[in-house]
Amino acid sequence: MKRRLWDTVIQIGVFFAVILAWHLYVTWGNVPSFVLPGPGPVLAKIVEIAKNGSLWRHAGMTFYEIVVGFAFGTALGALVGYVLAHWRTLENLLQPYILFAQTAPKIALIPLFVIWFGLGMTSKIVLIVSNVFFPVMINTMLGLRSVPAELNELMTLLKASRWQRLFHIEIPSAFPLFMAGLRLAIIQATIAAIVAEWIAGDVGLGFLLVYGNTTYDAHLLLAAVVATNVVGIACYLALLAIERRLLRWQAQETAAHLENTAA
Amino acid sequence: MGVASVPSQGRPVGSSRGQAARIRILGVSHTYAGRGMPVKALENINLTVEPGQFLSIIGPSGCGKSTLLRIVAGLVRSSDGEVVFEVDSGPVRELPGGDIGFVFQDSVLLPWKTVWDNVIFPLQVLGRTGPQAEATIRELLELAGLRGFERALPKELSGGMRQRVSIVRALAMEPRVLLMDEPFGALDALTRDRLNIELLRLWDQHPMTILFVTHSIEEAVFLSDRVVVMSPRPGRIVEDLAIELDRPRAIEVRDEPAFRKYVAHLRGLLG
Ligand SMILES: Nc1ncnc2c1ncn2[C@@H]1O[C@H](COP(=O)(O)OP(=O)(O)OP(=O)(O)O)[C@@H](O)[C@H]1O
Ligand SMILES: [Mg+2]
Repeated sequence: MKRRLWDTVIQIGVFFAVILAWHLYVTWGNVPSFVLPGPGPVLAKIVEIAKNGSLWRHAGMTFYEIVVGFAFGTALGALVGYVLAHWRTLENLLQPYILFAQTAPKIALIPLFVIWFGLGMTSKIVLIVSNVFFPVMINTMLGLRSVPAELNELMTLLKASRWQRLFHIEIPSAFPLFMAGLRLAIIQATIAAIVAEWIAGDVGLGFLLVYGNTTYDAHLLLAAVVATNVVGIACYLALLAIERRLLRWQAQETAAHLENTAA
Repeated sequence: MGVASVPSQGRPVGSSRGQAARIRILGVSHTYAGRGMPVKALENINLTVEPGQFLSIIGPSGCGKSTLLRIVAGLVRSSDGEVVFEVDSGPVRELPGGDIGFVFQDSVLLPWKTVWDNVIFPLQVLGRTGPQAEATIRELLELAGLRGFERALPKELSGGMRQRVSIVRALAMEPRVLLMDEPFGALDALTRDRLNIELLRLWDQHPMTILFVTHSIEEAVFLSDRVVVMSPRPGRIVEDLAIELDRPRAIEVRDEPAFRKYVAHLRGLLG
């Protein structure tokens, strides 16, 4: 506990030291504000766009895209990962295409997505889904394959159904790798959302970045960068919180069960 | 190669869930396709294990002992021959789920579940939980010296304790058939002796037909009603020896001349 407190203190200290260094660099170095504004003016800009509501509109949209794209991509990735893990023939058949699609820079596909799905929400969601899908699918597959052969044989001896296998053996076994996949995926989702808005869109933090850039508004640009980071970190932390919740829930289930069965 | 079928010596052969099963292994051969050359693992195995009998299989490494157990368990389909179980209702090719218990060489526990949950989980899958099942589990854990460890996780146990948990897990289902593949191979001699005694006691209270694979001739003789010796690959049965030592057996039985004679005979066969 004490150790964690110290870690937090140090983290906060480092954060303020960086801000201070930034401030000192800008003021003492006479850096023109269109190149790099100081932290004070950037903060002022953030407050300004927060007050006039545009920050919430743009950040809200980005957040919404990330959540929707992440949810769809995760569902799809988990489903396909499950099917491929249990159906080796299909996996062997699809292997080269999966490799190709996985390594292809999907960001480069966004103009194509725009042609197919228009400038609206759909093309952005599709881009996010395509970025979330692969890490989730691969890790689901690895996770399911990590189930020891003997555990599967045990389930065979019990004549367990597909669902019993899934809930008793596969989900708990695959959980750590699956969650690791989700962590990669949420970062990918954030990047994809920003880039999608950047290229195609008139709303979202990515758009705000471009807007700040094209209007030579370095304050707005940096405000958007900060907001983007906050959204990305918030998503990541939310995911970690969910993961911890699930782990604790499982531990509690076990404990509760023991409570009920103890002599 | 006298295939003597020795009836279990007046022992009760019914568990609370019904009779132990007779296992008939009929002309079973198995060849693994493998990469490159096919491997012939078993050749024409014929064996009848009586209900409630304790039969050990010994033989050189790679002669197909594990393969035979897997075939009996229905985990591997033999390339030839068949396995039939005879239960009260008649002969069947396949027993219902939970009627076959399998103890692997290394304990295969669910690392995220406590001892208690590991033991009860097959019964949950089978839909056979309840006060009676829980009473049985408590009794088995007690017998296996695991009382007080119900809440421990597998990683908090020693190797011998883990192996005991997986044996209790197999027994808790009250299977008609128990297959054990070198269950004590990884343990030190003292622990092994203790677990041998415990296993016999558990078997005494929960009668079932046991097929037990081991590398230790002494262990086989000590535990079994019958010891079957297999040849090097492809495995064939080269001896089927009835062990007529009184039960219950204590560790000291190993010093008896009769015991030493069995061991010497088997050692001669394995060369
Ligand atoms: N899944 C498999 N695919 C191909 N060959 C196999 C497979 N399993 C076993 N074999 C081969 O079949 C033969 C018998 O194997 P098995 O595991 O049944 O022997 P074993 O008597 O149990 O040996 P050990 O005493 O060392 O455990 C071995 O030569 C092995 O290489
Ligand atoms: Mg083996």
